[in-house]
Amino acid sequence: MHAYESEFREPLINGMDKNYTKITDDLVAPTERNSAMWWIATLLTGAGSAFFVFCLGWTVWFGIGTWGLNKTIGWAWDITNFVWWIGIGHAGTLISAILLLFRQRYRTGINRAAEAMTIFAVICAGMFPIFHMGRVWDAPFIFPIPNTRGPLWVNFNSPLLWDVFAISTYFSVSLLFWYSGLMPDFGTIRDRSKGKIRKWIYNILSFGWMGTAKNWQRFESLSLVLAGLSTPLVLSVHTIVSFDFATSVIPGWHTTIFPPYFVAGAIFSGFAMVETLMLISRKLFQLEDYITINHIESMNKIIVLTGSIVGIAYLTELFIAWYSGYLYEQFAFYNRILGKYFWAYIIMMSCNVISPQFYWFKSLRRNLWVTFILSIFVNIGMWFERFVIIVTSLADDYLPSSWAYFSPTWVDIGIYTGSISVFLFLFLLFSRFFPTIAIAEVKAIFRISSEVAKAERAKKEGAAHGGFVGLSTIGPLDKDSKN
Amino acid sequence: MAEKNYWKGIEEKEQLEGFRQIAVKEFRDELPVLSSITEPISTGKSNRRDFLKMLGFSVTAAAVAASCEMPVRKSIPYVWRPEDIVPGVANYYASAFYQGGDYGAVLVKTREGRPIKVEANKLSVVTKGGTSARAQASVLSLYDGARYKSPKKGTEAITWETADKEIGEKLKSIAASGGKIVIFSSSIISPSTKSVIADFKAAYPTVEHLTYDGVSYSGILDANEKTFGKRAIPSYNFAKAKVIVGVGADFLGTWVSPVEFSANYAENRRVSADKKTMSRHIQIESVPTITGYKADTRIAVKPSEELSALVDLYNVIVGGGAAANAKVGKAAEELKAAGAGNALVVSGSNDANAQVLVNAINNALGSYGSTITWDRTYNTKQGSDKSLTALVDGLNAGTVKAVLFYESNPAFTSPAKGFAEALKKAELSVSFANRLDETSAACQYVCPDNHWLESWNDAEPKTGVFNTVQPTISKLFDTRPFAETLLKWSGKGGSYYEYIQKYWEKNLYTKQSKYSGFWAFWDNSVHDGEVVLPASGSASFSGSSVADAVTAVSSAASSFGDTQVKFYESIAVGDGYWADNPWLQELPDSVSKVTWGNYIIASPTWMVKNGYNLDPDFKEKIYAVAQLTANGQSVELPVVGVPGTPEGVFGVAVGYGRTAVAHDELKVGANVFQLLSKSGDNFTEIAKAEISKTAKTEKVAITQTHFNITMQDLGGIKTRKVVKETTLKEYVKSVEDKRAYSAGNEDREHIMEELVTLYYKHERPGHHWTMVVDLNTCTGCSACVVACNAENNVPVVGKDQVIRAREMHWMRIDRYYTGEVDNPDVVFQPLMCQHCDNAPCENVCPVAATNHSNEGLNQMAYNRCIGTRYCANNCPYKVRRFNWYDYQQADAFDKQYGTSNDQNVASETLGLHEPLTRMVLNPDVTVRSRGVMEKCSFCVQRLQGAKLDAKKAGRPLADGEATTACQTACPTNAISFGDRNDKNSEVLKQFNDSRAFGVIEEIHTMPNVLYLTQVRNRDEEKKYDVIDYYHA
Repeated sequence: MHAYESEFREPLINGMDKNYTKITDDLVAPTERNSAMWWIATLLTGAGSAFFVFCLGWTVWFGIGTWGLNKTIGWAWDITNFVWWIGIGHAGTLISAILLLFRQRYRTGINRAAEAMTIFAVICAGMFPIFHMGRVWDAPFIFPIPNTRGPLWVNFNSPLLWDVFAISTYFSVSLLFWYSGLMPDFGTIRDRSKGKIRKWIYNILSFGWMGTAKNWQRFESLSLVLAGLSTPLVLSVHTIVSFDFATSVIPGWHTTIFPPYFVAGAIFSGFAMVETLMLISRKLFQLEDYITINHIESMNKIIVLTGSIVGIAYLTELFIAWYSGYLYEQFAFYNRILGKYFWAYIIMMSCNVISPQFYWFKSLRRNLWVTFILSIFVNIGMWFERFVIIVTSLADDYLPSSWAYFSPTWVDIGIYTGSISVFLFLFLLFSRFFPTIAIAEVKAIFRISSEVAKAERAKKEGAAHGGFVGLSTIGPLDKDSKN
Repeated sequence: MAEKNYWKGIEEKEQLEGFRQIAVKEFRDELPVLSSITEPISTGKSNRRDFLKMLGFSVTAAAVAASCEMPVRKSIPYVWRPEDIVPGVANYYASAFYQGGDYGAVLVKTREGRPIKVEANKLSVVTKGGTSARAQASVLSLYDGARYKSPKKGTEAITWETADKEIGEKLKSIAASGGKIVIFSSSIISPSTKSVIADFKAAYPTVEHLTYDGVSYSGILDANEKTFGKRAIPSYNFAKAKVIVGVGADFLGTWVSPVEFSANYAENRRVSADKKTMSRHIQIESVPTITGYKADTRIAVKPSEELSALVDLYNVIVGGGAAANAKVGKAAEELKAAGAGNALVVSGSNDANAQVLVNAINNALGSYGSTITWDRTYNTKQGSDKSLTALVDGLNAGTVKAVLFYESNPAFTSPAKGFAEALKKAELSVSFANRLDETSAACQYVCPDNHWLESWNDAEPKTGVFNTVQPTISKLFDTRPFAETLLKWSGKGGSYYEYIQKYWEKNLYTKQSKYSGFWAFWDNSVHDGEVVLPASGSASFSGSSVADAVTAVSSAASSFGDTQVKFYESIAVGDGYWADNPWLQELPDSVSKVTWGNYIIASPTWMVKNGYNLDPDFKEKIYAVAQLTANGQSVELPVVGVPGTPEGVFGVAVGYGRTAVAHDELKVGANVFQLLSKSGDNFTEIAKAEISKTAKTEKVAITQTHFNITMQDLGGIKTRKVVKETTLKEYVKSVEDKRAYSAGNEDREHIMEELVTLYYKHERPGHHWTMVVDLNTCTGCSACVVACNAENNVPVVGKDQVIRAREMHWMRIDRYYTGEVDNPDVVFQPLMCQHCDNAPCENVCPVAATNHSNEGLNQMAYNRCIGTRYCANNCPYKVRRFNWYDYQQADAFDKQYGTSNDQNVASETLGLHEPLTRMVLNPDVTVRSRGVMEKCSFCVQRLQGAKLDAKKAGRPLADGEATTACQTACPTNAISFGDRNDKNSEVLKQFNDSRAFGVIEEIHTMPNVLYLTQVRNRDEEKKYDVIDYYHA
């Protein structure tokens, strides 16, 4: 692989004062300085996480009855949250694996944070299937472990069991991918560390990374293998999650369109969450040069694509309901639009289908405020999509005698908001102690843009900065130039 | 040959010293732990590590031993095994249930000496093998923590000796001074008890026995006295009647003898290819009842128009004139056309004049001697409303000095004002109530009677039909049968058991000829539970009072104004006697689907016009509260719209609003007895009312809420065919055409054609359990629901949880309407687990906790369930129930309630977790813990029991041996159950009937529960497939 310099390719990193040292300085800086903002945010989300634990404890101690569920609606916020978090957890792998395979080099600016986000989102997601169990203390029953209970075995027909495998696989592979990518960067931090303890800790974290050619070779091989492993996972995890619904008999759940629809929705919400977080952290940690407006625009393009796929899926569902002539299916969708949860459907439609359409305009795609607000909208919309699918379908299914309504209790709300706190809390810890941008990988793309393009950029920025420096510096970790 | 020695090496062969030393030791090296144990630490030979190990071990061991408290379980084996008690084997005792005016011939199931379930006595000529919800629930009252545990004086517990002495002295002094002693009771059907009262009268000549029933039948009794000279209610034969007109009489739910009437009525409502006729039932009523909802034609009128309808009927049938109400006129013509002796008119009015009219009508129709007979009359209703006035007046005047209350709670049921004040004037007041009620709380003494399951007694529900009541458990508390107490006070003493035997020997044995020798007679009577003596009664109609009655009823009918209220008896709580029974409180009313408390039934049309939210906040089940005023008294209750209620008509159930009950959860609703006013001598259930909306709202624990089923809003009306129905004419035509799927069920042909699958079909070589429910004979009486509760340990969850739609009933009665809101047709559909052969719940359980048996049962392994609730979500019938909390205290967790408002788990606060109340639990059925799913099991424990019995007897299981609790409780035999693989089984016949269909079977669940279409006997043909089914 040789660094090919395109005449037209714009640089992926902004700023005229960049050289390899500067990059290292910039990217490691957040782990090396204390910030009051960070402390406040961490304490707040820490408290929120504590409340999450409290609510889960409350649930386990008193019973699932503390939630708003009833005889008709056996899942509501719990599984809504689960699918929502799993969806959010899709961006990381997509960016790391699929964009890696497709050689979308812009991904290097965001992949680390996106992968971290994936890990934390999957952690949050995993809480729900566990704690929604009526007897969580018997949760190990779902593992196919040889046991002394005779021929008692798990039921391989159950999509919930498939979930167990899908999510645990996804979590382990994502964790491996993320962590292995971190190792060279931990090495960098260690090398810069002044304190003995700090050095020791980062040394352990880096698994004693030496930066030798053998290290790099193995690292590259591992990355490629994991990328290969992860790629099908991006598609499979949400496909299997969608089977929870698709294989059932409940109108509104029993739909063959679910796998692609769920995967598109997952990528959609995952990218939105990456944007939400990256827009904040690039500001907070002064990473604007590395997470550039080009990154934002690229992600917005994916959002408008996946959002439209989701929109088509919604319309297809409606069409099929009408076309099927099947009363129960028709009623389920009639209910979604005009039933007692019509407002949830409106929120879903407007946030997921209408709001991303703004991104057809380049100026809006490149507008940070618009992006930030829409990314929040998309996340809200995607939560409601799951809520609409789960709750409205269950609330009015076959027998009218059992129709019911779900309202959340404070425990439902506490667990959901608490899970967001846990997610942010973990992300804050991550951003303080781990490099949020893959230092080694960013360095690899430092030199791929064209001198012409850079010169143009320099002209624009030159007035302010007074010169363009350090372009020819070759860093020791520039892996692309090695071959 | 010499034995060979094998050796492993030189050292062994030579038995070298080093080898020998090693060989004798189990472990080659010194064990460090052993050394630290054998050598004291003080010798210093133990090293630090060993010390820490020892320390760690001993601290952990001590902590484990100290903290894991093992519960001490005391189990005491039988030293002498009681006769007939085999652990694990149930005993059944024939008995008769009679409480709060409800009668049933029953078998009491006991396990290890505890009565746990009431089953129907199939031999009974009265209840005919059916039971009521109340009979089923009565077993719970035996274990009620609110029962009196000893005699009481005020609030202080006293001994029986003290009570006998003090009360005896007082009675003597009152009798000596000529003061009246009143025994105030509800109708007593025990001949022996009546004889005891007569003896008591002999001992104290001033004794007067007054009978008063909370739900009064005084009007009909007075009318019969006037027209037949007999103060009694004759037998009705609904099976014989070809045309039945009910006027405000809920004879399938509550009126006179509903279990008997239901069985009777169903006989001529059952249709099949072999029986193509059924009776025609027209119900003229105001407030909807299950009887009205079951009628072929329901004429909705105002309560006062129930009276004028009688005048109309009278005018047409007797007078030959015309009817003011054309619909009623048509009904009258039909009655006439039925032919002499083929018609029957019943009225629920408590107005004596109205009942005189009914008698005149029936007389003109030739009903007497055919559909109404005087050969046996009811003893279950003897009360007179005059009794209450007599008591209150007597107490106020000072003539009544002592009053003894037996099975009567006038402090609650009295519509007359000032009862409480009057009672205070009594020199002596004694209640024999076995558990807390308003009257006993106000009495000076409480001398608690035994529960009926603890006592010997007898019963004569109808003249000439006698039951024995036998104790099924020795008395739980220091109580004494009422009769024994009276005998003691009469100075006679002795046991009531012997008294009954003597009574039977003298009065019954002599009238029968089957048995020679009293003991043979007695033993057989106790065994069968019932003795039927030849019927002998007769009476002849005298019409002298009819003319006056017509005038009186006509004028009464016009005196109620536009806004009227009717007070009715609910199936669940009766006159309030059952309001302290949690099973009955949680039983959804079949008409309104409301549990826990009463409410104002109103017309949905009226509600819309008057600014009530017809579709109340279904999310939270919040209903507007109105103030209802009648007879100068008002109550505030939530307003619930019930289709079929005419505008300006309101209905409120009596029996709610009890205050002297043990738990706050039971104090639901409002007492409306005070709103009853008098018409003539009797309290009338109709009143002129005023209603005004208040700003208040209340949550109503309703189990079926208001949603439209169809998609009318989209223009196309499409109806889901959950229930199917047809008219008799169409049905007969389709049967005569030999169609495989009879009228109303035609679409099944298509469904069955498409019922193909790629999958392997599971063989069911043994049994294939199947249930068929006849929608035509199901009346919605709900006996099955309570029977299921009792059989399967179904928990009570309380009002709060029902509001949250978390009722746990394994079986529910769904109710669907069709037609106009103001006068709909209704279908009741009992729904339990459908035991689908292709069950959606089974394949989604990740741990295979729910699975299919090779007998076609969908089963639950509670131990295995982890509570993902996926099965419940995927159940198209929504029959699965999740244990949101530890409703039955089945967990190892200690009580966790009461710490937060949202955990109002009534089963705990109602005392259902007390060891006493838990004695009602069926030991054959697992008590489910928190976090597991449960559902109908087809009473698998009963199936296994029946199979075992057959196996022990070495014969195949016979049809009808394996029964479910709901099936045996059903008074109309609407539920058939059995083995479909048995070619001769009744259930197979029904399963293959042209009326049989499965609920939403088009989704290929292949349910093992089928339903038979409802058939309505009426001319006007409604095209049901385009009519909106809704439920409100």
